[in-house]
Amino acid sequence: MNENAATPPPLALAAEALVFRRGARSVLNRLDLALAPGERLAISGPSGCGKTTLLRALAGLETADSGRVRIGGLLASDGARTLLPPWQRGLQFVFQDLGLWPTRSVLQNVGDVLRWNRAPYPKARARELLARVGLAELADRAPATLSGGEAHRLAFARALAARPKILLLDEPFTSLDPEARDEGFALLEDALRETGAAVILVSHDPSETERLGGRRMHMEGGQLKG
Amino acid sequence: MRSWSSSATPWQVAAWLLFALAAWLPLAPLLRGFVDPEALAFLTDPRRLGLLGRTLWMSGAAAALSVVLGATYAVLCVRVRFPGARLLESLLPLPLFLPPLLLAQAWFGLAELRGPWAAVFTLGVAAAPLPGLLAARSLRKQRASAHEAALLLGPWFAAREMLRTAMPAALLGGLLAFVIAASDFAVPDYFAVQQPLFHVYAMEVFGHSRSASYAAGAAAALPLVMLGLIGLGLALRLQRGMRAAEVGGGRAPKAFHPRPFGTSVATFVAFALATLLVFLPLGRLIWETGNTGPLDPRSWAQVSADAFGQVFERARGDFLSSLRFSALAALIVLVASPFWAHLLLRSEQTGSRARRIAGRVLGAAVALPLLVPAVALGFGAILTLDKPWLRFFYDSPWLPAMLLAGRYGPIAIFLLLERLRAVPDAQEESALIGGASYPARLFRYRLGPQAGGWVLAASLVFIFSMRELDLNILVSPMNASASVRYYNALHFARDNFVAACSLVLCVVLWLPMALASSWSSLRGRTPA
Amino acid sequence: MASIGSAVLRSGILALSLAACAPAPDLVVYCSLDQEFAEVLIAAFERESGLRVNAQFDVERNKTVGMVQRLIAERAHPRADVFWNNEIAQTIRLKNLGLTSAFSPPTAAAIPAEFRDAESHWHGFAARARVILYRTDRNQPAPTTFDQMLEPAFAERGGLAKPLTGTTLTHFTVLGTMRGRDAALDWIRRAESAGLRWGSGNADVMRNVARGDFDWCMTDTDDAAKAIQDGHPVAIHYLQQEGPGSGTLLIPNTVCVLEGAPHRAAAERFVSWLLRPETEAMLAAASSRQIPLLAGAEAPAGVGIPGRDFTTLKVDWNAVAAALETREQEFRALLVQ
Repeated sequence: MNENAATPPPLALAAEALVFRRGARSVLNRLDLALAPGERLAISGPSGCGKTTLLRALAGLETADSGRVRIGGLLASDGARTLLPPWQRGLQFVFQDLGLWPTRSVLQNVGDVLRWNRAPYPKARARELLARVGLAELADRAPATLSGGEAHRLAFARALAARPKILLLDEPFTSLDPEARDEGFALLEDALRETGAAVILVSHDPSETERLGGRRMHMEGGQLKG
Repeated sequence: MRSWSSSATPWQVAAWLLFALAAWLPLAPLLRGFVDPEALAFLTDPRRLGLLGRTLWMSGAAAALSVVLGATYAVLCVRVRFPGARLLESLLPLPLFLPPLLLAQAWFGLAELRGPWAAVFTLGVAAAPLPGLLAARSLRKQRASAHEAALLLGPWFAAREMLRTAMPAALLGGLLAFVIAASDFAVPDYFAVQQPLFHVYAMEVFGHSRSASYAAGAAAALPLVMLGLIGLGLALRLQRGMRAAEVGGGRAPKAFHPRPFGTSVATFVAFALATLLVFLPLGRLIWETGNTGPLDPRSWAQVSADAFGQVFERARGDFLSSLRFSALAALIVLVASPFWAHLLLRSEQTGSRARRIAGRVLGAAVALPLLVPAVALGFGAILTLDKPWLRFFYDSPWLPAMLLAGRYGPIAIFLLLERLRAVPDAQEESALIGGASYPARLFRYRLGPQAGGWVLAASLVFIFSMRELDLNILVSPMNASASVRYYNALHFARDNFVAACSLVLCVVLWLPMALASSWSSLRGRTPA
Repeated sequence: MASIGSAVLRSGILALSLAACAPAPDLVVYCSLDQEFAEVLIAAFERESGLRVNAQFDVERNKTVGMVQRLIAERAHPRADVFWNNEIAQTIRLKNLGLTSAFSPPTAAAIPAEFRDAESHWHGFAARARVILYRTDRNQPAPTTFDQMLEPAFAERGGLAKPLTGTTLTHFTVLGTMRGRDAALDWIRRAESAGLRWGSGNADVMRNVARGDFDWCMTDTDDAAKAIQDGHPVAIHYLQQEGPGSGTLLIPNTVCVLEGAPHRAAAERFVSWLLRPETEAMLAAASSRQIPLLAGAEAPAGVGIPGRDFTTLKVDWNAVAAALETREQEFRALLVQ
């Protein structure tokens, strides 16, 4: 018997019976989730339903009360115990408020990630990435001086620079005008095609979740449905 | 925001008149010292240049040490979760309440330190709360998502990003520490016992301030004032970096919870720093309250109890007087400093180059009362305000309060300037469109989100006012003060009394701050 | 807006309550004596006279110059009535600047002539002596003459305050007037090369001896008395009791009525009250052990009496006061390097 043929490829990411309480309120209520490598998953739901908390728990930025998170088949957290810290999970996160590093220039925001991942010629590659997202001219500017669309493109460029296996997107297009949103989606599409990363996008806007393609789920009562 | 000036003018004029009266008017007689040809002689005399050079390196080293100690302490207490972090953070301001000379005596008693490095160490430890408090505030303002984006790349990267966030604030505190260290001659003089002797430039300023010509003291102070202004220029540049680091508000990052070994290391380092900054000097002072010679038949407890008894019996009135003047000064700064800082902010944001330059000149003029020796301000107050027709004011507690507000107000102004910059103009503009008055716009919408920094600025004015000595000797209503009482006793070697006095002062100043901090944390707010 | 208005109102009420004024005094005294003793005497005067005294104290971290400079700055509109200085040279400086006025208290004749102004502008009382304080548990000799302090056997084991302020500056200025300026400067240079240690004040060198860092120091009797009272194994002796120019330097408290004093009558009453044998006896009995100068003043055991326990160094105080500022600059140029 061929053992390799019998073993299914490990999931990119899985959550098992995840529980997260904030005071008396259950934000995640025995939530289960499985994401295959390269899969696209869009999660919709009203504001405050726990979408962001789910992404943060998957990334290891929040500690769940119980339940497990597996990354690439490895147990990353078991209840309150963190076994794989965020930086060892091979994922990247685009935050709702982007989380750009305000003390670093546009170029450094991307270059730092490359340098930290020991990529060769980090500066040149950072410039290349910025050129691809249309920010080459703004490389020396501070993030605070960018427009909303430019800042979003920088956040994407920074997330993709690490060549993550999993990309977590927390309402990344919410505050953008239709034109900038189109640009953002086109950028995401290119990046996903190139890296083959699995992606989870959460948004309260059904049009965004629809546009991502792939599987769609709805979050309600601390659980995923659909 | 073009309509800003018309509605703001009366308020601004009133606030700046107050600053002119409290700070600039007393300096007027001394300004002629700055243009005295003798002032130039101070910059060409090799001996004085040597003293200036030593002042520069010693104060620079003390400031650097204060930044390292203060920033590390702040990072550990604010961003690492370990048992006692909250308590240690609340203890951080304590060294600020003690006169540096007392810390020097404590450290000499503990470790027999001598020489220039002992002075550097003492001045660095004494000033460590300044970068520490500012860095702690800055760390709390770091955007959680920026920290978490860094955390996805690794803990060291997150730590580096955290340091980048804290450093401009810590360096600003370091520059304040530099200014304070550069004007202190008592501590270097205390440690300059053995050959080769060493002295600092402030000794020269002190010597010349005793001359019959007040202008000579001002002339001698000119190089230190210039150093201070250069420092201020650097500080303002750094503040621009700090603004970028604290853009936006939102959630503050969670404290890092290291694995058990990491927790032990963090706890050990934090308690070691607290021991260095707080426990050892305070412990020495507690011991000093009852310290006596081997032939004294009284026990330690008896001597200590006597010392505390004397403090409550003799110094109670002086403490209350100091608290009154300092509280009044802090109150003036609390009310007026937003107006002062707002005008400086506006001058930065104007499109006109001439106005921007005028703004910078104004900034330098605002810093002047802090950079000149306090004796200069005291003599100036006598020469300009001690007039028969002004007796009602000169003899009232308003004069000390105003002089203290004028001298230490610049600290609050420059801290607040940064706080105001961090709030988007849109907040104030929407209030303007909504018809809010200028004070409401300034206090509620612009300053409201920065209330912590506002209170911290006024608190620093209060603390420095409590420590003031030179003005207290010279200005009549200020003489009955805690600092005159314990420095007088210090000179006459009443060490038990002085130690008890300083401990009471620490408790009196620390307790309200600690209670306010506990109250904030109970209510789920981050303290200033 | 209502809440801002009420906040401003509350701040105003708080500020006014904090700023309540004290009633006007009947007498203003500027004083550079140890506050602990001075205020006891002033309180006694208040009780006896029924006058309200506003006493303003100096801090010797500023080495009495704070009050002297303040008096000079206030000369256009004098606020103080009496200056009670714990040394003498700065008082003479004030006289030379025209800031003091003549007043002869009833006890003036009982004060030795060298400790009162010929024109009655100031009067000395309750003096401190410059002495050697040494440890009794070391079985090591302490210097007995001024120049012996520079001998290697002594220099490396002892110290004195830098002659930049206070009584040590006065002492070295006296040295300059007696031996000449160059001799005084040369003494300081030789002290540096001999390894003599310099403290930042007399109390600091006393602490050094009390702690055992030094075997001996030159200091004032009030500091020495403090070390003895605190139970340290120390004792004092007086320098150079025989030979030409011998004697112990005595530095008295001085008191004067200021020119243009707003409360002249009260000032004269206070000065007369202060310059009494009873007051001197109180200061002698206090822990500072001030040495009485008035004839008839009693002193407890342990207080040195001029003529009985030591010979007083004869000093031309006017010459010392005239030279003080120049000497200070010269000493500073030498020591503050």
